[in-house]
Amino acid sequence: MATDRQSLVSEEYQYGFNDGDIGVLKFNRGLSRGTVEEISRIKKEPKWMLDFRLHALDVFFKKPMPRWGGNLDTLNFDDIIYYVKPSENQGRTWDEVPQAIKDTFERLGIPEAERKFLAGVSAQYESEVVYHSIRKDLQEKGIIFTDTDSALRDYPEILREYFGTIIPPEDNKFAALNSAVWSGGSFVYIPKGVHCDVPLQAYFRINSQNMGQFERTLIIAEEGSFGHYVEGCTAPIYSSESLHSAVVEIIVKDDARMRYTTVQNWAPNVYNLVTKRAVAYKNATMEWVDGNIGSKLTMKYPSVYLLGEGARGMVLSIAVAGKAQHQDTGAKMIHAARNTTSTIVSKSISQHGGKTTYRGLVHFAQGADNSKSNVKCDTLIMDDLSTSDTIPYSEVADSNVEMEHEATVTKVSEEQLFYLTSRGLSEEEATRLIVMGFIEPFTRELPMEFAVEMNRLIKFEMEGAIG
Amino acid sequence: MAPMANATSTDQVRKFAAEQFADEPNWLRARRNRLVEVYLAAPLPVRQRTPLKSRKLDQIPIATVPGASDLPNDVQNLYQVANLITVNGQTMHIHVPPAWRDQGVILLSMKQAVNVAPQLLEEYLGTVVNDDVDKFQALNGALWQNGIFLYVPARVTLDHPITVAHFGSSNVSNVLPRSLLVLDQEARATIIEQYLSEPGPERSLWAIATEIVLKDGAQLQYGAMQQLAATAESFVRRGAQVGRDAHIYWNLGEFGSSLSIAEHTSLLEAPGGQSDSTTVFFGSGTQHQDYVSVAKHVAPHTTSRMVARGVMKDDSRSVFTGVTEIKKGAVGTDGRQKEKILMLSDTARADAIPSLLIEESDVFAAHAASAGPVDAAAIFYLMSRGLSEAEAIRMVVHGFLATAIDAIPVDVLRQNVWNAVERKIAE
Repeated sequence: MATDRQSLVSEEYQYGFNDGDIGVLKFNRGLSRGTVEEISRIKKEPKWMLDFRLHALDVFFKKPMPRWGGNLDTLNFDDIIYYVKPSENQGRTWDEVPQAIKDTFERLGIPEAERKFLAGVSAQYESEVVYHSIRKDLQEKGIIFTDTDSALRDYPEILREYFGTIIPPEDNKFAALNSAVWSGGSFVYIPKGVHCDVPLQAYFRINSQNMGQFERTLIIAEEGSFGHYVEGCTAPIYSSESLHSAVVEIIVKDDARMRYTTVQNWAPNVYNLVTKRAVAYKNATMEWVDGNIGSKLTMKYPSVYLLGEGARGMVLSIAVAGKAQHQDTGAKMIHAARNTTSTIVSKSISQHGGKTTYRGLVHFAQGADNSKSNVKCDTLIMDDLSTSDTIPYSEVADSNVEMEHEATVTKVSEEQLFYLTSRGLSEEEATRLIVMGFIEPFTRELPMEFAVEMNRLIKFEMEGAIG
Repeated sequence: MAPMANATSTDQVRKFAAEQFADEPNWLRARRNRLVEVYLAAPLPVRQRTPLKSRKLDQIPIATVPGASDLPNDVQNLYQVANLITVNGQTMHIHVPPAWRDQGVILLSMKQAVNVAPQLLEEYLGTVVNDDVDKFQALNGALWQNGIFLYVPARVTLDHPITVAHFGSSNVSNVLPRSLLVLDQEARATIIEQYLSEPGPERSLWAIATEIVLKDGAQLQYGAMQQLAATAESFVRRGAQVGRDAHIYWNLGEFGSSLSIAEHTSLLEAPGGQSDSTTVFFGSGTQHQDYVSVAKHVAPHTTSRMVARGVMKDDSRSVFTGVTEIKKGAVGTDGRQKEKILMLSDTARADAIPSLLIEESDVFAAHAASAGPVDAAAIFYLMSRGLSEAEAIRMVVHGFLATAIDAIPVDVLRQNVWNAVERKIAE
């Protein structure tokens, strides 16, 4: 039986520990105008930002809950804590970070990774970024890598020019919620022609029960620049749900290239409802590398608006859904200029009663002449408890474009298993090898240390072992 | 501003139903009356990608009996070959080969079936297509006029295709054909339904339903050609219930009508059932086409193939939604979809949503979709050989549709589809 030999996502979640209640300021549950005003007051924000937040709150209250995608019935906005301040100050050196939080990130391997290969690290704990560093030489090149709250203080002009322009609060209910109560997140600015060859990393951690984390990330890649931003996410396991609702806006100017890599490994009680969108101008390239392994429900469709001639977009994603998980993920490519190209590769694995949904859109606007899109979605269903939906939308409003879409849904091939076991591998090893091969197009694109981590994670979860 | 009154009042609809069907048996009248109320109460169906509200469909009178009209030559010619012709919902011609009668085949108009085959009718009517599902389906269920009723006994093979033509004249405001086809065990048949209408001064509403029941091992080649006039607005729903090792072939040509909404479903509810579906559509002018093709795998070892080819011209719009649904327990199932669209115009728009909904692991499901322009190199090549651009495009369109159309196993239908394509290209 399939269920006996295959165990890809364990019910054990290795980052499920919590640090007790260590915040220095924690709001009561629930959301009102007062909550929003208080967040803005604590952060000493300019009036335009408070106005933006209050407007977004109105939009949030007005918009109905989405009735498509995953089941949001048990998500109660009144149960969520919208702001928790974990420490008095943000650390510039690791020693300044409070011990309990430091221990958490040490356990997650963050400072070690920074020493090894990262250009900069940001660590967000609950609502605020508690640690931030960037390599000096990159700073001297003019690269800005800071948290979004600091950016509002230190770079108000740039922030105000771009903030909320790619994803306005009106976009969807959760973007409106984020716009009203956002806190933390990363601000990245790469000046014209500058290449940031090593990745910038942000790490997001939820600790409290019923916490809502609403980070807001804004990335601007000026003409001819290059950058790679990597984020990881974990949280403790509680009996009640937490909410992570981020907004990520990216502007990739002419000839620039930006890559955004996510390894999302939230605990299985986190609603992960995220809006991620990039605009790519002339000959620019935007790449989303998106791994979704954790969370109770993820609804996330990274998108690229190809606005300039020759712009390129790529989404490479994997989704793994285990017991009681639903990964409703996908990608959107909007071709709005000539000679634009896009590629979507999606790999989904569902097992132990999990559900994966690929939901994607490829749109060719009128005038997007000579544009091309290629979409490929593959799904492995590991056992007879699990399910998978593939729902690709394509909209063609121009004659001179090429759109291709392919999808398959299969189980692990008996023939491949037979071959591998005949060569002396156990069935478990053989299955693992096949699954690794299946997601290889994804892991290949991760920074090496992440790829190792990813392989370890998948291997670990397949064995159903405790870490 | 007060909304404009419906062209037909609720009382008129109720009165019409009561008078028109007064001589029908009680069960059928009760069924019609119930669906009249469903129709009256139901809101307009919501099509995500085809707005219906702005079309003011309630301004088209329903529950009317059109006056007499002359038959155009096209339809008169059909008398030679057709087994059943309906004009404005009334049966004008019916022909049953004596040999079939001897084999026990029951071929009737639906109106005749009410009196001649009431048990069969009562047993199957409304069991495949759910008449409660939306407003226009309920309208058909409530006020259906005519169509073909076919029963083929076990192990009987009909030696040539049955052809049915539904015709609407220029003065008709609504036509509601309904057909019911039952093939008993291992029976085989081929049937083609054609829908034709004359352009009129006013719009006309067509609500069409066809129900198909295939018992174990039965095979049906079902073909349909929709070539309604540009003043028609059509809603079509077809369903096939596919028994053990039975096989349904759908060959659907969608060409006419200003608004064309059609859905067909194969319910594979017993092991070994198969569904092969081909839809060819061609949009031109300002046509709105919205098609849904469903293969629902409930039983193990069932197979479905779904093919759609569309050509989009002028300012036309199309949506093609393919749904391959594999339910828990349907092990060893194989469901595949292939959709291809050829774009001939920058102002046309085509959406494709080829979805796979899978609840079982031991299956294979796949889809492929593509859209693209006429290959410029091919046009260049053809023109360099002396063809005009229009002729070159015509040939490319032919090449694009050939794999789908040439696979239609019925000569008459295949030729009909090609003729329709030619007319559309020339338009």
